[in-house]
Amino acid sequence: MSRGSRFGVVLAALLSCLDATAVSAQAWTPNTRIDVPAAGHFCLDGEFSWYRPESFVDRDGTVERFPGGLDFLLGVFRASYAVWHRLALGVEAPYRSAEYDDPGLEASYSAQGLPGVGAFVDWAPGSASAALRPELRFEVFFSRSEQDQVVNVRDGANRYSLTLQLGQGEAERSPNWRYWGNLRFEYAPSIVDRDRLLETRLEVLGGPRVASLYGQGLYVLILGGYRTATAALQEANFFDNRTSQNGFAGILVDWGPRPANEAPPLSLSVSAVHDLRPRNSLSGWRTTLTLVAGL
Amino acid sequence: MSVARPAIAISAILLSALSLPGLSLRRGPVIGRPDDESVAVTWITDAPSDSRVDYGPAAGDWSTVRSEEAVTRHRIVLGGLIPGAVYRYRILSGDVALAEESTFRAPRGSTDTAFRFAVMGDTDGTSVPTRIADRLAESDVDLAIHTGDVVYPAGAEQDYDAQFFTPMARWLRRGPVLPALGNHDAMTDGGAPLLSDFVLPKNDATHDSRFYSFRQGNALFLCLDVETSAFGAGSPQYQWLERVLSETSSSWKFIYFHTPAYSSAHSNRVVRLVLSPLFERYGVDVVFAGHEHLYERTFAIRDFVSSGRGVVYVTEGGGGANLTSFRPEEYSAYVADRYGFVEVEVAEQRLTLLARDPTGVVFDSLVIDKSVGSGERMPLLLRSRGRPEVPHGRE
Repeated sequence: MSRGSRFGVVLAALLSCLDATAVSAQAWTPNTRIDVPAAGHFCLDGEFSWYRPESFVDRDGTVERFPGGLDFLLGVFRASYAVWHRLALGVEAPYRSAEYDDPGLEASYSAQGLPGVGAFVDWAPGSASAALRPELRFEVFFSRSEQDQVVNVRDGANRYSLTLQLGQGEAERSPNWRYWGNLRFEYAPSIVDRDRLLETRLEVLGGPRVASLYGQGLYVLILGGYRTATAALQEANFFDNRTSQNGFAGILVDWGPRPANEAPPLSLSVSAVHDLRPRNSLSGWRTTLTLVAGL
Repeated sequence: MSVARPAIAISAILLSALSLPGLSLRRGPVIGRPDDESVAVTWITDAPSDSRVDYGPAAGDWSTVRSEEAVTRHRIVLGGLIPGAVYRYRILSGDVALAEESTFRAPRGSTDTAFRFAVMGDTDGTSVPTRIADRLAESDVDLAIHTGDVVYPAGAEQDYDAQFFTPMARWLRRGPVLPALGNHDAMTDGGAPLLSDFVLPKNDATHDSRFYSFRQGNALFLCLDVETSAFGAGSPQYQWLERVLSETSSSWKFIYFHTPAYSSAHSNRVVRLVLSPLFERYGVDVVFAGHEHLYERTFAIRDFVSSGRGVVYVTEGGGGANLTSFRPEEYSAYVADRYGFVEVEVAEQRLTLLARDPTGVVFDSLVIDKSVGSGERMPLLLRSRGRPEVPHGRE
């Protein structure tokens, strides 16, 4: 199959997947998995998250429940190309939708739009045959100017982030187990009325193969992590200017090869995650669907 | 030893001989507002003694309320007052007058449709609060509400006199300040010093006065606690707020709390999402907040949008703390990083709001006239009386 026809197949699969999930009202979360394609190959990454916080929990643990429904939908498309061995350049285009529906209002309120665009560099230092495979992503995200509406889709603060991922190298690759973890630092400079933002997020995942599907393993992974930030700047909405923390835990069902450019060139994951012990932070369920294609 | 030292020592001995042994006034008198019919007078002495307040109508006989209990924190509640009447009073301990005679106004009855009140917030230092107190004492306001952060840096009991009661003394002996809990106030024991230093109305949902309501004339005031008490759907405060708003027959409804729902500096988006729909549903007229050290007034907002009708949000945080930078939002009608306070005049169906600097100069104003239009409140923006209004001005 030529590179062009492979791209067409992957794109068609991606679009049909997006359409199906939109109809069934499922959603996804930002993917933290880094896949560095082989030299001269592409990696396409489409993910959708639906986050429904039922409350905001303040610094003392006081739960402020929203009287209505607050929903954040986020779709992110990433495309990267390996220009060199273990080095890829990529772009990111998210699309966000937010909606608030209160029983006391005459209507529900929503906002949709492109929060901005990002560019990133993925690098996988070390040998793929090593026991552990480190991968790094440095990303710059250019945010569109801030707005202040009912719910926002952009916050005006550019982002600089560095993610370190540690996963199974070839020597540790097991058909029965899959695990990886990542540590992410994010920085946003101060803007007119807001201090700079520093956010750190640690996430680990691991679990066994439970079945086979179309010749590929189906893994069920337990996911857990912790996030801390200097402000509650979440989902493009500035909730609080004091430090914000929360743990999170959930389950992720993962199918397909890792790395994504191995045959077949598709992998799919679905996760459901809930916030744990939030402080100055939203609390709710986040469900995610991620589709990664290599070609 | 210099010659001056014996002279100072002799003067000190003479002064102590002239005052009640071991008894001097450390704070007060301070007027409090326990409910809609009474006035509380509080003061602090440096030694335990009994408490006595003589009071009476301006041209009438004196009445006396006393407590024989020997205390340093004195509190006398005066009931049975003529609504809206001005009384003169004096405080005594050991039958010795501790301060000059002063006056207070009794809470107004529900049929009283004209009165004034003031709004201040984020009182820090002594210069600005002292000047605000001077303006209030010279004005004809009945009471002042405070949008929180009464005492910096952390609402500690030992700072209340130097940071608040002394600078505000000239006003406090004439009328009450009814504060909301600010984040700085809550840093010490969750705001316990503020709750013990002010005499405030109670609510029927909790055992304290972290949130409360009171009526003055034909207006209902609700003070909310968005710092230490849950205010989300289903919380005791949310249920209490909804019940009080639904049961009131007052013509005017004012709400105040600390962090603003709408601000060109930093909005409390949780407050906005949770509480603003409730304010709009029950026809709240003006919501006052502080926290951001500036003055701001929004256009009337309904369903989260500045639509020309709905709730006006005013941030008054210019009580002396370092001023805050801002970026004007679309819903902002006027915003300025300047010190000052707000004075509101209610006259039947008409409300006039004046934003004043500490010298009393008006720099922003608003009229809400409920008799205009087809039943909808249509806030009308008037020109500043102090100087031509410059929206989004800076001092």
